[in-house]
Amino acid sequence: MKKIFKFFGLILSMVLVGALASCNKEGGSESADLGLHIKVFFPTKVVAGQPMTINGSGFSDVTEVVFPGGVTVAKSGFELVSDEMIRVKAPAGIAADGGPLTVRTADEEAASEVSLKVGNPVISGFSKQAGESVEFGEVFYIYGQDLEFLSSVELLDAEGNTAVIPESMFYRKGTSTVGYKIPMNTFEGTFPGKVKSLDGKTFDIPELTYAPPAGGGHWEQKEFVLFEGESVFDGWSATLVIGPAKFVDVVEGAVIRVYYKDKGSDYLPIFKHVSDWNDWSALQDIKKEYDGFFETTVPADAIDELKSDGLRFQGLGFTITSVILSQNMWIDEGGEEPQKEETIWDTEAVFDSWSATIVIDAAKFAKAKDGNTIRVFIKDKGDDYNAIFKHVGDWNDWTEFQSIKKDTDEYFESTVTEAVLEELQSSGLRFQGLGFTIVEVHLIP
Amino acid sequence: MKLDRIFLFILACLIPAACADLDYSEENTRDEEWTYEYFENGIKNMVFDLYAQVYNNEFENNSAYFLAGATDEAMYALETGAVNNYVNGGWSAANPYSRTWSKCYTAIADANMFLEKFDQADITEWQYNPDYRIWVQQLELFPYEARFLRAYFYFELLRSYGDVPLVTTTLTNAQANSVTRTPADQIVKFIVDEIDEIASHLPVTYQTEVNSEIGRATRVAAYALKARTLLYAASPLFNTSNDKSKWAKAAEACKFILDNADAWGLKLSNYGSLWGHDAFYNPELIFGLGRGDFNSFEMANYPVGVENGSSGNCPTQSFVDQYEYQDNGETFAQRYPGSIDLRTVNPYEGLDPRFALTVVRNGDEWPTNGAQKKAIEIFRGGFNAAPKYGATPTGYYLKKYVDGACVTTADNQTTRRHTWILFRLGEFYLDYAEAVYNATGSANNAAYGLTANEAINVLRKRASVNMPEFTEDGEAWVARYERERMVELAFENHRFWDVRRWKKGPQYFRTIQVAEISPSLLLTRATVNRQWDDKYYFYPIPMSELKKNANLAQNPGW
Repeated sequence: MKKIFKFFGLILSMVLVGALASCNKEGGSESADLGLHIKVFFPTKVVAGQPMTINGSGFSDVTEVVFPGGVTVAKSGFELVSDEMIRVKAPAGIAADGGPLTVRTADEEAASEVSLKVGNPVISGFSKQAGESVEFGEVFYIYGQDLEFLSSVELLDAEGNTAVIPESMFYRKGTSTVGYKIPMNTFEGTFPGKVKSLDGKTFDIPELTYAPPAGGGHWEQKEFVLFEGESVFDGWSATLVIGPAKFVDVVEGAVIRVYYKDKGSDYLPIFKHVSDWNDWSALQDIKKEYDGFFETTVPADAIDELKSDGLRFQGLGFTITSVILSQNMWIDEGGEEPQKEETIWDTEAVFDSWSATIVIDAAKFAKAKDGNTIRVFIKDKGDDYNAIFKHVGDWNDWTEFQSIKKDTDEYFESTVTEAVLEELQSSGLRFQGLGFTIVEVHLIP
Repeated sequence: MKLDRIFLFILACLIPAACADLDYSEENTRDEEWTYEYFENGIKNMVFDLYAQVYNNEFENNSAYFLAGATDEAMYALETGAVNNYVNGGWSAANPYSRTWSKCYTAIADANMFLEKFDQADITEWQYNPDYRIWVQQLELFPYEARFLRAYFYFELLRSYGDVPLVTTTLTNAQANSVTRTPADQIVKFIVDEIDEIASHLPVTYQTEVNSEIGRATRVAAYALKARTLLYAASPLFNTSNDKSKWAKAAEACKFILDNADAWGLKLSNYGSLWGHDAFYNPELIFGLGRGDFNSFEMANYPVGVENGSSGNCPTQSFVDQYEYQDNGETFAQRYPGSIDLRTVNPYEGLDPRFALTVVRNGDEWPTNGAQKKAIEIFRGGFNAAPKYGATPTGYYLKKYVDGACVTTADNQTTRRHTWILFRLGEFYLDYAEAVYNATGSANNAAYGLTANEAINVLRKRASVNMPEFTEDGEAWVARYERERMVELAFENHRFWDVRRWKKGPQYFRTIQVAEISPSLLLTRATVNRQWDDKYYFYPIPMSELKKNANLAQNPGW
């Protein structure tokens, strides 16, 4: 009995040692050559013309890729990326019910375990129906199935020629939804469109009326000539005044650019006030020099004086040849000018105790819209910093603002939502808190 | 009898240990069925694991996050910083900085497995879950995201190693240990072909997707990866015959981004808004790594003398020399080639506004938080200067990316979000300019619809920068372009790679200049010699990989 047990133990030992050896991957018993095999292909649903990748092993000798239905792509029709990867475009004529994909070499073949399916893009609807209007810049959606195979949309451009929106410009290509933005240079009028799929199918987009956005108009960088001629600055009594009529429409941020010639070694141009000949430091301090011109940017606090008095130049060692005002202007095309950033509070308010507060009047929020940002610029932020958006009437925390408040060193801000708009426009907004000084409050579109 | 039993027992214990491959595995450790039937913690986590590998934390612990210290942008203040090995001869095949290799191939293996098994994904059992509809929509995108990330990791491998094994399927250990290197051109083609196949399936933005999960691969990020890959492929390191058609392809890919930026909602932003707490939402950002609230980065880069500051990456004088003056485009080095008496001259006045946003100089109030703000003293004997241990060796401290609002005092610390930029719109104006210059041979050639100079001037005329325009051509243009690229993309981990792909290592990396400021405020220049060898153009393949796989050839010189 003892001998039998020992014999059994020996056999078991040999089996275990064998098992150990079989686990040893460094032993070389496992081959790096796995032969011809398809592991995966992507995508698993295709239409004719669809780029595909096939991954597996032993592809170096592949001569044919066979699709369901026996449709064969020869070596010249696919790209051998590596021994493990082939790129191929799905051919036409794949069996509608799909099936395995096969790769063939001269003497063997391997089929995929997963079946290839055939896609069939179908459009079931659109985000706008026939007869409705759609605005330039709007995202338009197509609904249906297998829409990942859509490849382009055809509309008309401003001149009435066919304008193709390629898939790379689709907002998103999903299987059930595809969105694309209506180009700004689309033909203004009523016309049908077309959608094309990779396999050459064409679908109709219903007849829609394409039009610019209701708030028609656009921003444009405009230049106005304020002075043209030659004004020589060869002594301190030389001067050039540009009258206020030239600055009727001047806006903050506009650039006054002065072109000159005959720059001397004593070159020194100066922006001056018209009335008292003093340096206009607000313009002079930010003057920038370039080759052939100098320029300055109009700050907010210079606008009133420019509009009432105009601008004087004085200096030495140059001859002004032209003065240009360059500014971004809203070009009205029959619509409403879009909302701009507004300063709704511009007085410093120190929050050094819980009794400190400011209220911004409801009128300041007359143009506020859902999604606007209320940004509160601060300074002197202390360790006890705690800034709070409050209701005006009851001093309670205005949690809709407070819960989404973002803080930075320079400002804190929150977003206007539909839920707060009515109260904001009827009662206004209160701030309370500790450890900061409000400098300005902006309403930002 | 007793011995027999002991022998058997030991054998039984050995079997599982021997079967567990503790060194390397091509497989993910998740249970397969579990992974592919559970969305939130299964399939989705698998994709998130791929994203997690994008962040290269190779230097996080001891070199303060950047490769800048291995370039002429910066010196790493502490000699113990691992990044110093790049420039002191400590870099070798045995000490290869192998994280890029290992993280990329781990991520690629995970992506390959995900793509191979994705067909098993079946979450229909969850159809009555309120989030089911959202999950189905997200699931649709995952394979495309995985392919984008796989392409991204191949780009990282390409720029680090040149030729690398192209693995597009899961491998057995024996296969993994017998792969060969694929020529770089084929890696480039793989990346480009992948992007061309997947880009249109990725959304332009996730803000209009369910759950609005930003920070994921977008179509724009895919096209950005393609454009940058083509730029690298056209560069001298990879394009040894200066094949102009490669530059042309890069120019076209970059132009595609510039042409469509507006439609995709991208905008150039204020330079100073590219980093900081809210940078993740910056409209210039194409693909970035958002990280939660922390202040370890500030601790690593605040000056010594600021509580818990370790100096970290200190900008060099060579770097400061690249900045131009606003009045005439002269550089700092041109205007002040020698010593500067800082008591009588302020050489930083009138410099490109990007300087003050990037560099802390002597006298700057820094950091910005009220608890720690003070005038920084970088003159010898000053509060933030030598002979203090770990003080800046360059005469400057870093400001870009460092959030001065973070309080790093022992008590009452504050933390802020950080975003590391991977792709941003500004880069592609520069990439385009470089590509179109090389494709056409002129900085003023408008064959692609925008000249190289016009593209650069778009960047330079931003309201927050507003620098004199580029008008040069020829070699003068190249020199100025390289300066502009260094300034604009400073500390965004470009310089390390740019100088390599231009094959200009000896010109830029062999010696750098640093500033020393005496107690009497005299700024003098000193030259620091660094190790440079042309083998540094590519990383060494890790020795551990070469031992496992005899088919892997080492890069030249290593």
